[in-house]
Amino acid sequence: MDIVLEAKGLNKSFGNQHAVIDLDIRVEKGQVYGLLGQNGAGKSTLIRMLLGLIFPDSGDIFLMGDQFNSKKRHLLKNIGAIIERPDVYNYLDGFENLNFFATLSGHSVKKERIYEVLKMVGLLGREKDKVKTYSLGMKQRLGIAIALVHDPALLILDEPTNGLDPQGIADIRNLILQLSKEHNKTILLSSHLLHEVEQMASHMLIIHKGKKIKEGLVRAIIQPEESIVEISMLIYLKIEDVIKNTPWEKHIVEINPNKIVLKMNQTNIPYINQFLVEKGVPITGIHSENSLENYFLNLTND
Amino acid sequence: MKTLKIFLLLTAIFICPNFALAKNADELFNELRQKILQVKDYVAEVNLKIDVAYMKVPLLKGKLYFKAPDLMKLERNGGISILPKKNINLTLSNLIPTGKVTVIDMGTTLYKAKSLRLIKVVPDDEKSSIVLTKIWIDEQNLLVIHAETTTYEEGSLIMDLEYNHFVNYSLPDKVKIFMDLKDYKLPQGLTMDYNDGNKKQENIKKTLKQKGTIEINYKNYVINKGISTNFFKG
Amino acid sequence: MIKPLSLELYKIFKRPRTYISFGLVTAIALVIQLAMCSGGKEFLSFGMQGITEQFAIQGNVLNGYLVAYIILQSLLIHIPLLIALVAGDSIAGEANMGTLRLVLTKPISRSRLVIIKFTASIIYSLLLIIWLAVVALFLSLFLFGKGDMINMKSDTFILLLQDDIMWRYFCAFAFASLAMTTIVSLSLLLSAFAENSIGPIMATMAIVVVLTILSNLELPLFNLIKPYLFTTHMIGWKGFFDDPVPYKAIRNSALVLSFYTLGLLLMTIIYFNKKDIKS
Repeated sequence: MDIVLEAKGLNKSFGNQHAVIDLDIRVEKGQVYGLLGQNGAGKSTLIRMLLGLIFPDSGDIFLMGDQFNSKKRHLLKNIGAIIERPDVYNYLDGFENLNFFATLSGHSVKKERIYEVLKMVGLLGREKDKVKTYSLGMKQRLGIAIALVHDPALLILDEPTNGLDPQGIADIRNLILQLSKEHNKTILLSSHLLHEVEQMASHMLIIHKGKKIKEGLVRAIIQPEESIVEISMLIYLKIEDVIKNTPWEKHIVEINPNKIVLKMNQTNIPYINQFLVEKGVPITGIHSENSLENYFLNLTND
Repeated sequence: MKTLKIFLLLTAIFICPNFALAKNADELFNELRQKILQVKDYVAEVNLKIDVAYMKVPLLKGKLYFKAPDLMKLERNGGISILPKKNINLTLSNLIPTGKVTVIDMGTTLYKAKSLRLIKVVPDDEKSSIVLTKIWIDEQNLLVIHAETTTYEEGSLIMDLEYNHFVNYSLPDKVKIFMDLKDYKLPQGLTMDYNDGNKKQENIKKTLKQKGTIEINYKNYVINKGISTNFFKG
Repeated sequence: MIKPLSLELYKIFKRPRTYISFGLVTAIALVIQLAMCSGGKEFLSFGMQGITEQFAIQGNVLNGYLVAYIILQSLLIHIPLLIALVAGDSIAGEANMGTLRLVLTKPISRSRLVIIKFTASIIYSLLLIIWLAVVALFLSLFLFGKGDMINMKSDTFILLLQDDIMWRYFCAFAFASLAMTTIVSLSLLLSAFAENSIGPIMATMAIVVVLTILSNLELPLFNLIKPYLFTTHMIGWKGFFDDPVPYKAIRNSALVLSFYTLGLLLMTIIYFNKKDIKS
């Protein structure tokens, strides 16, 4: 696998405030890589460092295998980005904005390409309107169009669905998935919305207060080693005796005649279910609290 | 002021060594005045050179129009005309008092290696701005070669005159005027001058009494063809 | 370089606020011309009192050349503000708008961006000065006619012949353009520091006003620092209306202004290259 983006040991402080502490990131070709963290966790600082907007106090950044600082101008040609809000020139129209950033991109972008991108983001027909007349969703889509117009290999999208209505969020999500699947783009996206990352990304990095909390396949993080499994039942007074001296005993968090709470891998649910049924326990329901949302809240709640 | 005039007159009378020429002096002055007054108006091509410490004015070329007794205008083809103020006008007719005067003969004197008759003229009219005029006269040609006028308000005024082509009308080819000037100063905050590094000279200039020189070269007089008074307005 | 520069200019001239400057210059010129039409004679006779006591000055004194000079004199403070309006906004305005971060993710070096913004602001300044020449000089000449020009300095009265004036205006406008590049540099530096455009515009004005006052105060302490203030040299264009023209002093002023311009530009480039873009 080609590594598109790699950063090692990044640190950045603003005064006494440590924004990013010893962060590593590694994005491979074709991945949709999610960067997850609450507002102020250091996502934007990290993204700005990856784009050369903020200078890290220490650490190295490599893009397409090259040291970022040494070939910054050349490397930036292969990146398209949205950083936080989709701010563009309000007094220019959509086409003018696209044309402006396309010219700055270092590629010779043809007019046809601009229309192609406009069509892709669903802005065709509105390109001659001043951007100040656009809705936030339209601006966000224009922002993505600007990131895309010069056909970069890597897209860095910082909070691309921020402030959008549910339909807008769905549209952007579909667009990102389409870009990944149909156009084979490598995408680094950040969000403070967990289900968003869950729905779009294959890999993710969770950061909190500038530090790495967890990194890996989204699937693996969603299926953590220790989920909270809650088994409800009709009142069954012998439940403790059933569990006692079995391998399940060590997973018990709480045990009542009508409820058992265990801490264990979700993959064990069918087995404990089978075990309890065989012992004649009248199970009424099994609930597993292992969604990314809860997991994330657990991780980041102090 | 009257006493001053009387004093000057008496001093002149007693000092004057050629008292016997007094009547001739009166005649001479009247003849001279007649000759000068025969010019009712003229137009001449002039070059005007103003040499005043606080003025930077290039050589002004133009047509100088004159109408007796005191109207004067420099016409410069749309350009600006700068002439000394009325009371110390550039023409002899204005320096030589009109009306009743007392003439004092000062005899002959050498001026620039030329023997000239010197007379003093004191106007009797109290309203006259002139206190006293001393006139150096070329008797033979009846021409004023040099004049020194003391005025009440404008300081003193000295004129040097050179003649060539218009001797008959007593019109000079060249006049050089030396005059006293008041100080000129505008607040720096108003003008916001550009400092070109010449500030130090200013203080030296200030301490000296301001003297100005104006030199006029006349050419091609056209005399007594009639000029309307309105022409001089504006 | 040409393409991004033309884009920068395109952006400048797409904004309505750019034309406010041209409108203001026109308005100020027209107001002064109107004032000169109605009360110019009184204004002049007040100014020329020292001269007219002893000299009769006749002819078209209040001509286009003099009116243009009066307009330029009055606009001394305004033009830097109008230039700061664009140059002060050029970096900070984009930071405020949020477009700066997007521009800087494009493969364009920060030094180059500063130079493009500097050049674009200078082109804007030049156009503003050319426009000033049109409304202040040519419109005044049209309204008030030609004539010899009087120039009253605090200690000197200067008369310039009408055929000897136009070149002085061209030189003066050229010098003013140089002075305005200093303002562009200053505004740009302040603009690089700021995250919104009001700050650098106000700061540029404050600096120009305070230093102009210092340049004109006749106090021994200030006399020591005056030669080092750029505001002392910004009015070097007036030198062209002196006789003889103090070329040495003007050259010196031009050097000081160029030094300031390059120094401030260099500071902007160095600072901007190190700046974390957090906007």
